[in-house]
Amino acid sequence: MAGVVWLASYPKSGNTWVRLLLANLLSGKNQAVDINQIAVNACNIVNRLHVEELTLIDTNLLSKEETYPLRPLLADFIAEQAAAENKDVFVKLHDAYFRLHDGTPLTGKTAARALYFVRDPRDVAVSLSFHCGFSIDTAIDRLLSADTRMGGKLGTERGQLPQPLLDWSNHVRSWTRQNDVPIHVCRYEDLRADTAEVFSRILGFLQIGASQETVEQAVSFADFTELQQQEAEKGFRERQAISTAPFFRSGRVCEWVDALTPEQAAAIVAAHGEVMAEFGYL
Amino acid sequence: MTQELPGYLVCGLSVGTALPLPGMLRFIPVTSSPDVKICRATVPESLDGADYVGPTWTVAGQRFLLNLPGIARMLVADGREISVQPAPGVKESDVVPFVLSTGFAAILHQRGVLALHAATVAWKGRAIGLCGPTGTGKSTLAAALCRSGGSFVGDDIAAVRFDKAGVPMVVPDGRQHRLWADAVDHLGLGQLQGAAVRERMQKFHVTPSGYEAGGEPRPTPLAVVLLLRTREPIEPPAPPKITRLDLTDAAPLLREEVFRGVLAQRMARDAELFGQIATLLGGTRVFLLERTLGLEQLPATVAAVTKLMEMPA
Repeated sequence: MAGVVWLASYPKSGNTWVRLLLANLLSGKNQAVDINQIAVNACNIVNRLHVEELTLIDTNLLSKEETYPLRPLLADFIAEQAAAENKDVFVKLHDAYFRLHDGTPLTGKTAARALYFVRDPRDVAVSLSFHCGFSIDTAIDRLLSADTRMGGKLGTERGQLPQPLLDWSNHVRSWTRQNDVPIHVCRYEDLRADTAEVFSRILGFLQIGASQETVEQAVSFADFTELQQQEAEKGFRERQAISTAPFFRSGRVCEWVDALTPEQAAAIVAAHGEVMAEFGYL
Repeated sequence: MTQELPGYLVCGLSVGTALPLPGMLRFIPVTSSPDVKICRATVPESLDGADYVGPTWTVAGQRFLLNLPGIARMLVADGREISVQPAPGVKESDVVPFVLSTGFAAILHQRGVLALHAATVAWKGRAIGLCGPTGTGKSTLAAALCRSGGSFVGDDIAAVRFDKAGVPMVVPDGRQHRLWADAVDHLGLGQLQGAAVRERMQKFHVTPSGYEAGGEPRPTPLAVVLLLRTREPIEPPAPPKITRLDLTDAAPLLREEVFRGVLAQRMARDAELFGQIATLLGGTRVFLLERTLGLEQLPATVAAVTKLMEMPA
C-alpha cells in the first residue's frame, strides 16, 4: 500500500532516530547514511520556504490561524502524489492530531498509515530542555500547557509554520484515539531496549519486507554511537542554534531519575499520570 | 463605455484597479484601457481543462486560479485581468499583498516576461538585483543600500525587459519598501513608515528615502545580480563574502530565483526562461553574497556591496 506515512510524535521522542533507521534500511548501501542527508522519501510540510513553493503563498503574510487551513490541503496533495507515483512518502510531524473548526484534521484525510512514538514525558522534559536551550522547569511548563506550539517563527530559511502540540497527554491521546488513519504505536523505551525486534515490527506494519540481516545492518548504522560520531564530525542540520548540547545527546532511558528534582517529576506525574500509566511509565 | 479606474504602474504595466492598492508608490492618470485590470468578481472554485492542479492553485492554459483558504480566491487570465473574491468578512486591503505578489507573478508569466524574486537598487545608474527566498532580508538590505547612497528601484519583483540593444533593464514593481518594524527602527525610517502590509502585522510599507524629492524609480540597466545566501551564525560573525559565478553556475541558480518559478514550470515556460536567462547573462554579472543575518551585520554587508559596485565592470 503506497501513500503518505506520518512519523508522528511529541518532540524528542525518537522520531529522528526512526527516520534514520528507515533511511539506512531503504538506502541499500553498505555504509551508514549521512545524517545530514536522510534520503528516505521525505517531504517537509511545515518549512515556510517549502510550503511557499508548493502553495505559491508567502506564509509570512499569514496569521497563525490563517496557516492552519493550508495544512490539510498540503497533506492531501502530498498523499495523492505519493499514491499516484505508487511510493511511500515518510513525513515527520510533531503536531497533535488537531482538527480545524470544520472538523477537518490538520493532517488531512488521505494518509495511508501513521507511526506514533511515545516516550516517558519525564525524559522528554530533560531532552527538550537541552534541545531548546531552556530550563527543565520551562520544559515542564510546555509539557503541561494546552497552548504549546512549535514553530511559528517568521522569515529565515528555517522558519516553520506554527504546529499545535497541546499538552503531552492530549498529544498522545489525539493520535492514539483517532480512527481516521491506521496507526502503530511504538514506545521509545522499547525501541532502545530491543531495536532490531521493535524496528522489525514497525516494518511489518509498513509492509516493508526486509531480511534479519538488513534490519540488523540498519540498526548498527543508526546506532547512537555512530550518530554521535557523525554529529561530532560534521554537525547535524536539525540541531537548533539555541541547543545547549548535541542533538544526539544521550538517548538514555530513565535519565530523569538523575536530572529532575522529585518535585519536577511529581508535577509531570500529577498532570499526566493517567496516560503515563496507560503506557507503562508508572 | 469602459469604466475608468484608478491606476498604477506595476512592472511597466499600467494597472486599472477596483481595489485600492496600499503600498504602491504612485497613482498614474486614470486610464480607460489599462494593460491589466483588477476587479472584484465571483471566482470559480475550480477550472475546467486544468494542465496542473497544485494544493492551492490550478493552471489551465492562460488562466491561473489561486485559493487562499479563508482569505480569498483569485483568477488571473490572459495576462490582462485579475479577478478577486475576498472570503466573507475579509477586507480587500488584506487580500492586496497576495494580488501584488502571486497575482502579478501569474500576469508576468502569462505575458512571457522574465521576473526575478528580487529587491532592486540603482547605484550610479546601474541596478543591483538582490535575489533570495522570502525572509532572507532582501528588502532590508535594499533599504540599507538606499540609506547609503543607492536609489530605490523595486521591492520584490524584478521584471526584466531587454531594450533594442539587448541591454537587460529592470522595471520598477511600483511598490514601496516593505519592512519589519525592527528594520524600520534600525534604519531610522520611522518618519517614512506607512500602513501595515496586512492588518495586525508588524511589517510596514515604507516610502523610499529620497522619493519625495523626485527620486522616482525608473527602468535601470541590471548590471549585477547578487544571490543572497545565509551563513550559519558563529561567534564572531564571519565577514560577508562575495564570489563571482561563471555562466554555467549562474544560469541554473538564476532559474531558481525566477519569481514563482514553479508556476512558470507548470505553465511550460522552461525553454523560454532558459533563453531569457542566457540573454540576461550577456549583460549582467552574477555573484553569491554569503552573509550572516541580523541587523547588526547590515553595515558590513552594505560596505561589501557598495565596494563591489564602485569597481569598474
